[in-house]
Amino acid sequence: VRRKPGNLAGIEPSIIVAAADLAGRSVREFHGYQLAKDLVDLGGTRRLISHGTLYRALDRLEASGLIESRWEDPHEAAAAGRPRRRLYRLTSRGSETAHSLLVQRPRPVPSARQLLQEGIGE
Amino acid sequence: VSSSDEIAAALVRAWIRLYTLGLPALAREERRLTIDSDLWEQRLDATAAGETPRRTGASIVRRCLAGLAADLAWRLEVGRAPLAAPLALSPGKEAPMSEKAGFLLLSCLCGFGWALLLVAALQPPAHSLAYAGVLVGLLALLGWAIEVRDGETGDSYWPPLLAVGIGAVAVGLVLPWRPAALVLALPLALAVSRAWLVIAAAQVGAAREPRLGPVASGELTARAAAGDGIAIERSDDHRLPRRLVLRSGLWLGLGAGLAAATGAVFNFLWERTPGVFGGVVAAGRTSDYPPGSKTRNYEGKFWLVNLTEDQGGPGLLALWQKCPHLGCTVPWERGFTFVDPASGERREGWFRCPCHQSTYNHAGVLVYGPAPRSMDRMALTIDPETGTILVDTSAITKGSVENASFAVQSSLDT
Repeated sequence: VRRKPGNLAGIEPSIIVAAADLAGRSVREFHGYQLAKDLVDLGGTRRLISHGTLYRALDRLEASGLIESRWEDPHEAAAAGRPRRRLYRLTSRGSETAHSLLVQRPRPVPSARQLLQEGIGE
Repeated sequence: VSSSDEIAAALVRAWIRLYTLGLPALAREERRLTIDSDLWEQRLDATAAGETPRRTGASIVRRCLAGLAADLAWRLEVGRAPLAAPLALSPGKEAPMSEKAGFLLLSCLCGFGWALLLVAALQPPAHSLAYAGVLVGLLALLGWAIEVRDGETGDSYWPPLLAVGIGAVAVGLVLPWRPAALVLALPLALAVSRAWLVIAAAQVGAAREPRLGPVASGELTARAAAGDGIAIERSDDHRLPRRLVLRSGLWLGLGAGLAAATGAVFNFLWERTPGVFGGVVAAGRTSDYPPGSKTRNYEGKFWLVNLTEDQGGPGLLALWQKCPHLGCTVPWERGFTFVDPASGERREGWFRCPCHQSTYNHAGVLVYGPAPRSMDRMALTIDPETGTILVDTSAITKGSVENASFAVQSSLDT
């Protein structure tokens, strides 16, 4: 399915909401697997999302300026004995989008969990 | 010795190397590192949670398979110009797959296929059934693959499923060895049914789970703005969702279809000799065959010939349709004229093999051509009371010039 660039579709709104949820729990920066787990915990997905779908969505969101990413400091990664993490965080536009996603629904406004379980934009 | 999760991770890496082929080195490296970190974190997390390496490996493989389509889409997007258009929210855009026209069409095709299959199953030549079964099975698989998109994530399972479907068709068409077909078809059918059950159970489970209640909008935005965790509240709602009803219907339909396909496979594999070629065939009554007639019996693969006195009768002969030369099916050529070697007259109407022109008279006696002997006869008996003709297609006698003298006369005729 060809989509217009810039439209949020598929898993992307859920990612934005989950990222806002992480931010709300003072996780300002997160790595991909962390997000995949948070989506499961929030009830946005039943099982861990596939690599392909997750990182494609993250790339698209980064291209649209809703999130940004950086690579973890190599020394930090070496100290922890792990491969370098790619750390993502919401941009200010991303936070605005997350808020509007939560508010723009017809009343009554659902919880984040309900929003994720029912799917956004369907 | 590598454990399952390591093997799974290696598989994922190999797949990444494959689909990033031809990209700039930097983009390749970034993709590899990104997913490498994900694999590492998942395995670490799983170890901490006490998950077995096998489970973790299975989860990694599933994540990889479910993302194949998205990986390829990503590859295409990276190849193109970057997405720079301004972002707009578009709620209510994508309809669920099961409500899209293409899926409806496929479902209709499936239904049509099953109907055909049922009709075919009720009719004797069963070999076409297997092809129909394979075809319909493929359609069902395809429909299933389209439906089995994770509704939440958009993960798509069609590439591996399509591969399985095509593999099944290839196996069905190429392998003539029946046990092999059984060995391959059965696990496939079981795997598909299991997947259906799992999905159906998940659907039912999701519907039973208490619905989540609303949170006042002002409160939510206030909390979100304050960077607070977002509230989760529950309330019970026992309505049966429309989606569940639709989906159950879909699954039931597809399940019935699968059962029919499995049945068709068994039907195909089942060896049946009585009543068809290889067993005794009841060929109706003597009165069905007027003197001089040649009647093809498709079931028993013979010509039922009622010889007149002129043709060496009276009496009935069952001539095996197979040419003794190279095995072609010999037709009765009503309009073919040929000089009768016995009388020297030109006569019309001969058994004539289309392959090498071996020519036989009314009693299947060879008069011309490369065949080594006359047409073969099958044992024919007539019930003296009812006049029912029974042809034993397993009792075949080689043809000779005396074919006509073996014609069986019905006591009812005299």
